[in-house]
Amino acid sequence: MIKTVDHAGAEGLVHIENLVKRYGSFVALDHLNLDVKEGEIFGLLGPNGSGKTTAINCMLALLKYDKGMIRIFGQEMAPDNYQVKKDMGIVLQNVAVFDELTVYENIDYFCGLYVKNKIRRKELVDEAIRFVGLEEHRKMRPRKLSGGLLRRLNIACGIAHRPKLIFMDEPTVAVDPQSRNRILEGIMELNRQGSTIIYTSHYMEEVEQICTRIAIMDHGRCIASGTKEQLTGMIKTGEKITIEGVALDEEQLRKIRGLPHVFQADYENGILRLQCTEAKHNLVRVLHCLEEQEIHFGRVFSEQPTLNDVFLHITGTQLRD
Amino acid sequence: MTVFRGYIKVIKSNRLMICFYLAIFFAFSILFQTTAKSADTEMYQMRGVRIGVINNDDGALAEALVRYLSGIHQITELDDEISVLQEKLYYRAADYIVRIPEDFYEKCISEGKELEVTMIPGSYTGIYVDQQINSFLNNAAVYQKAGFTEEETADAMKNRENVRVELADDKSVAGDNKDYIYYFRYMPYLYLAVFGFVLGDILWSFQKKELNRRMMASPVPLRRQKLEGMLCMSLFGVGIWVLLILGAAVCYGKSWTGSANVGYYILNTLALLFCTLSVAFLAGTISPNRDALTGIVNILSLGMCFLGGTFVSLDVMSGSIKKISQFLPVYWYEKANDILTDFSVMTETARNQVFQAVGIQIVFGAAFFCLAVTAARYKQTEG
Amino acid sequence: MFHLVRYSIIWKVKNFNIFFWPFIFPIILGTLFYIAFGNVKEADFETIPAAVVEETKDSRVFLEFLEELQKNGTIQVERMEAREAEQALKEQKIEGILYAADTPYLKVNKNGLSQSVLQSILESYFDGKKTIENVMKNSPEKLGTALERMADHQNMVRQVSLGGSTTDGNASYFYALVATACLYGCFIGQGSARWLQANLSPLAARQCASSMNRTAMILTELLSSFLLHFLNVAVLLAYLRWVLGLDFQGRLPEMLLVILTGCVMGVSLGILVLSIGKWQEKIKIGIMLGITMTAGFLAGLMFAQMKYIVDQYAPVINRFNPAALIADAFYCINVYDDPSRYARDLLTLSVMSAAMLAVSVLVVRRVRYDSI
Repeated sequence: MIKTVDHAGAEGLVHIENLVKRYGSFVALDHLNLDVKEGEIFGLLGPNGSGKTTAINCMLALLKYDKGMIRIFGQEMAPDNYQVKKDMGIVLQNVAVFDELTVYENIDYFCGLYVKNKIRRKELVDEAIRFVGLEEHRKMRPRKLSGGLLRRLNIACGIAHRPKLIFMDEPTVAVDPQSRNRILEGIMELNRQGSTIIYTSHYMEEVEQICTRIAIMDHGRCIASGTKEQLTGMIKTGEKITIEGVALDEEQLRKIRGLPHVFQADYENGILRLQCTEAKHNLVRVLHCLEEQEIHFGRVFSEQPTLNDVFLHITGTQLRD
Repeated sequence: MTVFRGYIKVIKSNRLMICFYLAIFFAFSILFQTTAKSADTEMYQMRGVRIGVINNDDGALAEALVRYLSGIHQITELDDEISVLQEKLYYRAADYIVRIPEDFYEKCISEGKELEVTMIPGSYTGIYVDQQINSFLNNAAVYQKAGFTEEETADAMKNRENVRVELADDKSVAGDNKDYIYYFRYMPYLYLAVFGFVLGDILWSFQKKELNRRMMASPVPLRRQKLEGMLCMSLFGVGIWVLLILGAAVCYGKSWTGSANVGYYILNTLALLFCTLSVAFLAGTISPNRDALTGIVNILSLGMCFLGGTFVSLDVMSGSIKKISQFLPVYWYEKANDILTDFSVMTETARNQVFQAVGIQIVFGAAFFCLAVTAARYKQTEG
Repeated sequence: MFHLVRYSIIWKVKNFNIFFWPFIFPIILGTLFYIAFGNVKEADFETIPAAVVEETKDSRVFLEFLEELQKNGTIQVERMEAREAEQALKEQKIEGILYAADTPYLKVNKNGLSQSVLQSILESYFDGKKTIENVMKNSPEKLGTALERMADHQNMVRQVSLGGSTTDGNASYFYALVATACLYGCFIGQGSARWLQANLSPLAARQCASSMNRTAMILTELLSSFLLHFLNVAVLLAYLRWVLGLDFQGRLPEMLLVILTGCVMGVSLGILVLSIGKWQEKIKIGIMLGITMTAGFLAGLMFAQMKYIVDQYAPVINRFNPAALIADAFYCINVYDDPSRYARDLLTLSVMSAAMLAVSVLVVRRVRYDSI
């Protein structure tokens, strides 16, 4: 069941059509279709094993695939299509740097694969180091860096040459919150500077935070795609309300269930969880109802539906299972 | 016995590599065995070498030299043309070339200039021919000093007396070199290489940092883990040993299995097995990574075998070298092997010597083992 | 591309293991060779235990002759009765029995090196005796001078190459060693090609996804690995020449050319083995070990005569065994003085290297993996 809300229109910067990849009898990508438009931060969201990394590796012409087509910048992607590769940058899931070279040397080296001019390259490398905040670590070797700093180095190596299209495969795994924020801000800045970014993650919050358009993957397929609002608009839930420390009897619960826009109410262990359709003043109505019946309550939370809710709605399982 | 089973699984998953190494080194073994015999025979051969002679001198002494050599070896007279000489040496139509210059007597005998000869590198027989020619020339020089003319010298040096050599009719002597002695002679290299590369690699895999930490944090005591690992690898070693002994039985049949010394051969190879397993264990423990392991195993295996008498017979090595070699277990294995070759019926002295050699190998094995355990412990504490 | 080569070299140099082991192993082995048989030509053998049995009363000359030899350590002689001597021979306490008879003779119970030496001792006794007898007969007044000369045994033979320059008879092991050392470049080549294969490391994946031409990447690796390894082998050569004192006759430029070609060969081999096939890295290391050791073995590394035996029974192997070609090129410089064969060897090596590289490039160029 594929629900697509946006209209692709003309072929995107990256166009994937009916991509199939098998590992023996296991189907990793099952007729995947994707379009990434220029200038967006495109999120690929899905649980572990959904095929995100496989899709990226196919796009990079590192993996063989069984069927389908991949076009980047309007050209068919192949291992020796250096014209296309020139404008691409990659930041892979595993840190890909030389243990033996310093921070500066690593970035200089990888930038050198794309930029031949020595003076220009030096400018770009210095800029990249500033960008990721590793000025104080220029001469250090990767072994001396913490996880977060290492990831920043990993990113710098992938973007120093100012590519038009950047692939980022789970760049914030095992990273401290400070580094993570820095990285996310950096990605948005890169986008502002003109790069299109394909960002994969299984962290829903990150994808919601930075991506302009999102595709949700499961079992090798794209099961839904669109902006966050479009995706969350797909499901019935418009608002989720959680009330703690409340004691209800059957009659009181029935009354709450009967409130307008409330379509699901679960009560367990003193916690009331309500799901409402999109409407104004849902929370006020519920609290008013409780006060009228002189029901005491503790903390109250109200949140918008998340992509996890979308995933749950479509597949019946959580994003993080 | 979880750790034991773990090692078995790792060994199983490496079976392709194991077969590969076994095949290669076994092939070496067969090749070595077929060629070593002929080389050894050649080495002891002080006669019958193919010598090419370029005689640019018409004198009597030159002729006498050629006659002298032809009494011992096969002589071919050649022209002094490089391409012809090259061909002869390449294809071993000649193993040795003597160039007798013009005015041979004046130059070499009166003036004492050296006679130029060419020998194929690596040929032992060349050394004997050197000695024989030296002997001839020195004698000629004595005559010259005593005032003899060239012709008189040549005349005096005719008719060399033949040395009478009796071969004792001794049933205790092995007689012809049996083929299997070369099979057993080569075993140290095979063991060291196969165990070193295979077991060393497996050991090293188990010592990877994170894996090691996980195992240290487990409820299985460290000592037990090590023991189970060693037990498994020892069983593997015994398996290989059985394979090789069966190989000997199959290839050589009754000539080996029926010989009186078969028990001693088996004992000697068992001692060698223990020793080489310990060496492999040590190599696998001290190597920080795979490249280092390859290097260490190569050095240990080739080094021990060269100095220990596997590739080059102990006979050929000088006394001072043999003193150094005594610090290598392979030397003792080869020594025992040589004794078993020499005595097809063991005397008491010979038996004692074999037991001594076996004992020394076991001591070496134990020493390497202790070293390995100490190294492993040191690595653990270092983290 | 200079940028890449520079970093490639820096990375390898900083990664100790990649070039240390291919460097140290041949040096250690060379030293061991030198220790084991650097001195064989001086026939510095162990003192040979023998017995002498007096069969006649007048064997003074012979006994004195043996005393002299005992003094300089060639043999150790013990006087025994016949039966005692035979028992000692049976128990192999002695290598032979010298019978001091009217015409001395020798009894041994096997054909070995010691027995051959005893035989040659007897021969030199007869030669010397005859010489002195002749001198006494014909110019007795010069006997003193003759005896003096006899005592002064000189080396009157000089080993030369066919072109006339002095050679070292044991050099064959060292040539095979240098040849194997050149081929060890395959480990450096493999180590560096490790990061050209995207399915082996994330680093390689990043490389492969870059806009760098694959051919250029391979050539970069080839160049950097080769430069480092050439340095390794050149140091080995220098060590053999100047530290161990092996005589290479000042033909150093030609030898350097051989090792240059040999190193290209070795590195190309490593790059090829790593480029083709989908096996695990350690299996590929095993393959390269197998290839280098087999090539070295067949070229005479463990066993000098091997090369000749291969020449007799399967000469085509020597035409294509890179180690044999390299060793052969050394022989051509140092023994046979054959520049045309030398050139042929180098040409074959070059063609083989070029072919290997071409295959690597073709394979790697458009490769995608089934699984990363």
